[in-house]
Amino acid sequence: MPQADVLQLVTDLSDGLNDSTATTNYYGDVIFLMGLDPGGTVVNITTVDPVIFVPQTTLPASSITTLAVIYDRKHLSKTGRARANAWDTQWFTTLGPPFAWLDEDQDRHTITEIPIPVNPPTVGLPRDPSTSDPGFNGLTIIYTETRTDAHGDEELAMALEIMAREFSRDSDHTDHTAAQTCRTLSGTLFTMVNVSLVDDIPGPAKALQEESRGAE
Amino acid sequence: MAISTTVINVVARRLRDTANIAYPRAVLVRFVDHAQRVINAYTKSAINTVTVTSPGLLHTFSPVYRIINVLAQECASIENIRLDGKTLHRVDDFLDLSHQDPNWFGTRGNRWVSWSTIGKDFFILYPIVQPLPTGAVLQFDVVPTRPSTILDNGSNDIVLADDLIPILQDLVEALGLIKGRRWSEASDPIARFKSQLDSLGRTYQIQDVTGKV
Repeated sequence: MPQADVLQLVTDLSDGLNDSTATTNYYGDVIFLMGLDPGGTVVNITTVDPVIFVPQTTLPASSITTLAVIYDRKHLSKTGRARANAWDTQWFTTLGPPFAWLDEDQDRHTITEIPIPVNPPTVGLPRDPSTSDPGFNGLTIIYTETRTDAHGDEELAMALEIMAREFSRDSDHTDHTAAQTCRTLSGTLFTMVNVSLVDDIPGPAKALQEESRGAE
Repeated sequence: MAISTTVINVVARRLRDTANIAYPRAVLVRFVDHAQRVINAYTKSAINTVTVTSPGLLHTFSPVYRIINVLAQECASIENIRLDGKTLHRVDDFLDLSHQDPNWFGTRGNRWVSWSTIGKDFFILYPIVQPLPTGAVLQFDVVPTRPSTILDNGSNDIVLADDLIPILQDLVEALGLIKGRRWSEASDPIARFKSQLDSLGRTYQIQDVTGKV
């Protein structure tokens, strides 16, 4: 369902108090948090061609969390640097059909195949393996993504989470009681539609925040 | 089956706005519409069976299908897939397929054995079936949660079973009170909504957040 449905729902629920720019931004934030969930529901699949003799492959720009990587037809194991070193200390230059991938020491949209693929892929363009032949020696990526069309059953929970953010921010209608009510209800609804909204605050920052809350 | 008009009238009465001045019916219709989608996604109260017969929808290059391409509709979940009346094995987490068969993305066979979903947009039919003889038609049934049609301010049926209507009314009432910024009053229908959800497990197979029943 399009983003406009959620924005309309926020306008309805806030009785028109919401700032449309902030609402659109919060929509993107909520979708991103949904994408951080490894059991995510906003998932896409793309087959891309690895560059032969190059270990890294760039993921689609919309990707958030990589759930699975398939080389040719084989499901690759996710591994870490230490395990790769244990297998072969030269793994960064070893050639062969990949059997594992890692995302350590990479930017968000890059993964490394181990070992480095040498067989040229057969198709050429990124493609959707649910509608077109993925070809041979391609890299099929299953990932959560940012998008502007959430599922219909998730829209109400998203709208309430956006409402919570709208009432939390500094404005002429800041209302923390309202924000808390909306957040409580959105949490329940997200659970009902099988979505875990991952907290976007990383560990140390979250600990600090909780500490400051405790001090209050 | 309740009709949307009845639910809207009840909620309007609870909000003390039977004339629908502060809470226009069009807004309440939208609330009912969204609320029933959430409740149905959770309870699977209304499901339907879609029989897929068109051979053009099936392919032999991958086991992955986009749900909307096959069912021509969005759904909150797929509950079952049957081939020739036989229920295929459901794999709760598609990553478990790789433990069973690391080549699941390319394995071929004579008939499907299991299925899984990837998010809410894709499903997997494992293994890939061999190309059928020319003219042969493969027919299978998919059982998704029934997507609700967009309600109007009329006599559309609510897709939920009647025993879920009080929960629907409580949730819509809470949304109405949120709209009216009556926060302290909203806590009451929210509490009722949650306590009724807790008791639903006796009647419905409720999924937890990991997707396992």
